[in-house]
Amino acid sequence: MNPSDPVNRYNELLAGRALGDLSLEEERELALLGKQLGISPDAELELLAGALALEPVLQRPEPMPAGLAARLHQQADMIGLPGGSPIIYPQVPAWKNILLHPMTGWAAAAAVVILSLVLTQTEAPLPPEQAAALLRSVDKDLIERRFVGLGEFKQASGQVLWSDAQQRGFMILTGIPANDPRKAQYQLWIVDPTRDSDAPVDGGVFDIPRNGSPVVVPIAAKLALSNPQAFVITREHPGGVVKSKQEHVVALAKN
Amino acid sequence: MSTPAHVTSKTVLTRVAAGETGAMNVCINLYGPIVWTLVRRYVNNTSSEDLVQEIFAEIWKKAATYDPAIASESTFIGMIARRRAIDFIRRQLRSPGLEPLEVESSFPNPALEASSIPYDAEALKSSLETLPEETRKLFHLFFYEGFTHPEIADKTGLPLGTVKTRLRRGLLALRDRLRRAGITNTKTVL
Repeated sequence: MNPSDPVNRYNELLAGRALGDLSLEEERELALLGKQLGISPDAELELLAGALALEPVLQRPEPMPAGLAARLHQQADMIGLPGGSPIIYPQVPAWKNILLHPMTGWAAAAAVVILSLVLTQTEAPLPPEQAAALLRSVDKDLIERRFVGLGEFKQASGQVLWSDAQQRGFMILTGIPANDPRKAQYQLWIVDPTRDSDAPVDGGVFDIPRNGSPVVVPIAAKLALSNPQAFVITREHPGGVVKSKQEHVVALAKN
Repeated sequence: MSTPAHVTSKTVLTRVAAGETGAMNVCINLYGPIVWTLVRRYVNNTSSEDLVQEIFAEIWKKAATYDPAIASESTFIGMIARRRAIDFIRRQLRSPGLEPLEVESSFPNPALEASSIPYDAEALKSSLETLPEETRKLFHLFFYEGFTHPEIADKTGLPLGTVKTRLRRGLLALRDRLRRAGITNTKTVL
């Protein structure tokens, strides 16, 4: 093998990648060579290294810890279940960015991937109880508050779950009257004491399409939140408002 | 080309990809111990369990890309687990605690891009036997015993760079032997 030949060098770097021994410089070199040669890496060497590494493992597999197995099965149970309640999406385009916010650790990784899909796929909504269980499984310090209906909305109730670590959360709401979006929309406000309490964070505008079963509303906070103390739902003009006059406060969830 | 022995009518990964209820649970039962054992060879600390959870999330996501004509399920899953573990270690070494999690791991899509070489134990074993003894010894230390490159250098007295180069070239040589081992429809990428 002539190591100065670019194709040979590319192959050698691919092998190093499969073996997990590439330095940063070599990673850059691999990318550059691939570009220059007009080729993209295949998974052949990865599969080969994987097969070699697997051989001793297959001979002596160890059982997983019971707690880990239980968590994995719990997450698996969340997949593909028929939806019992609709997910109502806030009308804030930026809310998807919240779901894609860089994660802060490994602990929640697997469930977060699933949760993201749960909250982004309308065709496979998750029943509220399971959505709540899933978020609880990824953040032990989850903030959970109960909504209490106010004034003409006394029938409203529900729950809000928020993860500071994941910067995501959702509400499970019942008893809020369906709205005609041409006339009015609901808007979530989040009181974060680390910010100006007179200007709560806009959590997104949403509709309740029909009276009846609970709905899940992902929170579409436009700003990063830190230990929010209260969540307030108001009814506003279509499209929502920048600052609520709080003429129609629907529900409040606070400490 | 004959159908590989591991190709069955419906593998658990195809059931997972099809969204079959309970298929992911079966997958966890079948491959959980393998993934766990493999991960512990690379990451033997409190992060091991988190990494296994992440790997199964990735298995779920990538199940649809699995092609039973290319590799067995265990090889496919082993590849995902091993790559995740390697990526984890590398990120830990480079900037501990600071790097955001990459949802997509850094290996290519095997279903689309892998060449069709046999990865079954028998083919591997016979091809391995054709490699020079020194290469086989290095492979044994690295893959079977799980030693790192510096540990292998210590054990063999070889310079670290030599260990690295010989392992790389050994892997390429093994691939070439497997390619010649009777596969007629090898997709040559390079």
